[in-house]
Amino acid sequence: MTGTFQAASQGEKQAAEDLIPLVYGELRKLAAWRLAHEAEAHTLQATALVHDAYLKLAPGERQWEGRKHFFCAASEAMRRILIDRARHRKAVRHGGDLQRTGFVEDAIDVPSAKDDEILAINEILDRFARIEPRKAEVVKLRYFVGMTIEETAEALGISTPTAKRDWIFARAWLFRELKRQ
Amino acid sequence: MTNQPTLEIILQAALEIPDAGERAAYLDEACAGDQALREEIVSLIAAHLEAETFMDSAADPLWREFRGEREGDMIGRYTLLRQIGEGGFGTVYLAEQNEPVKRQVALKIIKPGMDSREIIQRFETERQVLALMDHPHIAKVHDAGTTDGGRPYFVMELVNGVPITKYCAENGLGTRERLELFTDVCAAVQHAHQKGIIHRDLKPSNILVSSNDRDPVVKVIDFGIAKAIGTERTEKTILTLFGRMIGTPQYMSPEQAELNALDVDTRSDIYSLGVILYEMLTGETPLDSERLRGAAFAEMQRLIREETPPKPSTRLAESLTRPGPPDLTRHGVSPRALRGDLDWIVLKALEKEPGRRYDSAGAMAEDLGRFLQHKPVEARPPSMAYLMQRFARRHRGPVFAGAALFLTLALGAVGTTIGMKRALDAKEELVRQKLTLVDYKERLAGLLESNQKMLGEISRMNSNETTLPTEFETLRKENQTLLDKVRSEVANQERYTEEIERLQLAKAQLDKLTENQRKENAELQNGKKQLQSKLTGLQKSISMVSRMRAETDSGFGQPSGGMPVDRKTGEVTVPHTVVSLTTEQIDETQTLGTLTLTPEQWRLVRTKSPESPKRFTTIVPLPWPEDIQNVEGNYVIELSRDRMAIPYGKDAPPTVETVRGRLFKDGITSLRVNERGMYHLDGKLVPFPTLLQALATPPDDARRDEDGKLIVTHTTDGRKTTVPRWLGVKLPAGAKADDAVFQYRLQQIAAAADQIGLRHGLFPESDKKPVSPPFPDPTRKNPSAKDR
Repeated sequence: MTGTFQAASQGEKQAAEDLIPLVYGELRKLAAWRLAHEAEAHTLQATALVHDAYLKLAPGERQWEGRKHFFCAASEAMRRILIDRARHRKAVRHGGDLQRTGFVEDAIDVPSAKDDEILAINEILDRFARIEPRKAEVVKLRYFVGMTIEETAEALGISTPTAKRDWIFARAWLFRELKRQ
Repeated sequence: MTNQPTLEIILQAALEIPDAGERAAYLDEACAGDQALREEIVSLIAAHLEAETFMDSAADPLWREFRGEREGDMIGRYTLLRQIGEGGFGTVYLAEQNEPVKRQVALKIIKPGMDSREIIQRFETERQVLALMDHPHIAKVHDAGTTDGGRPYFVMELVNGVPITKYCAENGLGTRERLELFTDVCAAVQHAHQKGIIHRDLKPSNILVSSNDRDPVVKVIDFGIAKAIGTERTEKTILTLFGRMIGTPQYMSPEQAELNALDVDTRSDIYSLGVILYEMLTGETPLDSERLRGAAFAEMQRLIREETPPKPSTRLAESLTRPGPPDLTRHGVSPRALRGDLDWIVLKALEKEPGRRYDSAGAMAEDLGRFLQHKPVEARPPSMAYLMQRFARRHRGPVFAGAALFLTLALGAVGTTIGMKRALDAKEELVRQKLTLVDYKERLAGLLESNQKMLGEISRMNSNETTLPTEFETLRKENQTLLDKVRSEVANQERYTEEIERLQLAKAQLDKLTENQRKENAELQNGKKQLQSKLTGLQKSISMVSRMRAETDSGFGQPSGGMPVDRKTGEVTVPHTVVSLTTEQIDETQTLGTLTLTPEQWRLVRTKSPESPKRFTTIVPLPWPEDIQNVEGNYVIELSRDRMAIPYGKDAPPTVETVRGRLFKDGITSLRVNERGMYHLDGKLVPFPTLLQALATPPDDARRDEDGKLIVTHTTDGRKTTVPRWLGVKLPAGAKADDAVFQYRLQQIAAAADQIGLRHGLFPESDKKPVSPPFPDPTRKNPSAKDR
């Protein structure tokens, strides 16, 4: 496992890829466990969950580098999941043979704007990461994992104001970019 | 790179200034003349302000999904208020809708982990169909969708009601009220079926009754949901249900119980309706729920496919007499009200074969309507022909055996037929049949009863006397058919004294019923007489068979008083045997049977065709003991002009010639008799007629000495000697010559020996009384006989 993280830290994309199903499964289990044992936990603490998953998956790994990269892998996993979901939903919505008869009341389903947004951001995020690698990490943790500014800062080992500034910049930049397209 | 932090800091600072003018002033100052930087920041600020909800965390729905739904969550535009139900696959929530109308709804959502791709696919196609339903007795499907996580959900009209069976019980509804409620259910089901929607999971908990100070209103919920979210009772789900001990297969039709339930159609719902009506009327489901639950999957399938439930009236009567506190369910319904038409209506819906059920829920409702209006209903007791057919299909072997036995009975001849032998083999099968028979008895009684009812109807409707006889003729015929079938059943089952007792009960029942008929109409008297005489005949047959059975047990081939022998010709007719056998010389053998060949068989035998059967012995009952079946090889039985059967060929059974040779030419004349009265010569079984015939025709070279005793010139050892003969017969250990089994034949043997002057120790010639043993032991006596 440690080897996997180290490989990930060396920037090997494939290693991160390998982590994804592992991380996903772990997150899901943890979430279910928390749900069962913490009746009051209305909002799950994403960081706590990811951290638990990290400890469980990499018991020997205590260095900051390993942990940081675990969070990166987790965010990558979450990103993949969300994008798969969005793509599937879009496919069904625009799906060829499915005719919408519509219910008497009104149209069905959640608005599709969020799916479009997820897919659009996914597309330009890689480009953004080449210009602003750290800010792209912030985006992943904030957007795809749902971490707070503080959690993001801690995970990436940067200060909270920096994380906040990164986030503001990235959000405005991405939005502007999407609008231009 | 150096101005990047600057850019971010300026951006953040600028965004903290609410006033546009002040912000512009700040930017002028901060950018210090760097126009490109200022433009960049301005454009980012614009983007930021415009973005509003942009990039709110995308992960929230995912986290929610990991967690599952809970009260207070929003699904689509519905707020979950509280959970009101939970199944293996889905959870039902009470939910609130605010837009466009404020109302409470039931929201059924498939559980996390149950959302396979296949299920979602099916859900997509099904949900559109469901919108087509619009019926006052079907809970409306308002909406359907998928959660952010992609799990399907349905939003349905919220029904505040109790399951229909519970409602009936709690309110102590009478039969009519129950039926009226049920008719509404039928109407709802009919509506959906017309739209091509099958419920697939009809059960009381899906049929709710609500009463808001007014008349009760029935609503069928979850219509088509089973298919849409893949909770159909397929193999997997049944197993799941069992594994988890939730749900019940009691309402499942036989075709749904199949592993690949491909044949499920609207008629499966009709079956479920039948189960529900059964439960509404009797308080119990047709198949015992405890038994089903305890059964293994295969056994459960078998029960659903094969077990015929008792009539509702019978079941209710049973449960009313059962000890224990009175159940509210039964309040208001009496077995009397169910007997007859309602029984048949329910059973028609419960037919195992879909094609025999009502065509539609509408047809069932109409029939119930007819019942409520006291009109004749469509449902009838199953025809005997159909019952027999079904019976035969299930018990093929024994039925044939039974039919053969019945034929024997009907013709009045008794013998050990192959059929009977098979029936013996099929003893276990017969025991099972007995159980089925009980049910038949019920149905037979029901048939009679409904005939009776019909008669009443006819006489009420039609006072014109002249048209009556034909009606009654039909009825009589029907009754006669019934009787025939009863008799056939008896023939099938008579070996069991228990069964005879039951028949006597049935007879008593029939008597009683005929008694009632007499009161109604004089014309029926005839019918009764007929029944009576048939039954008497039946009783005779029964006693005859019992006698026959006793005889068969005590000895083989002993002619008895029970066997109708034509005194003139000495013939006994045995059905479906093939060879004809008589002898001209020995009278006694005539009692052994005159058997009949079909013309075609006769032709084959006469022409010695290669197609001629090689082994008539297997089908000739009496003269050819069954041991001969074991003879291997080729031989035929030739039928001479005088219809004497002579087997020949190297493997042929002993013929008169061979037996004669042994008796008179060899040194040994020892006969052995086994427990069944069959004769063996040199260890070889000899048919008794053959033996007698051989004994009656000594060889030409035999002569009598001066005492009148037979002397045969013997050529053993090349010496010509005269050997006086002694006939010895050895009985089984402990047997006596005057035992019924042996006496008759021994006397025949003795008489035949006396005739030709052959000495023996069987019976003194002077008086024909049996001589007590010891008989001469042939193996010991023969050497001494030589001395004489």
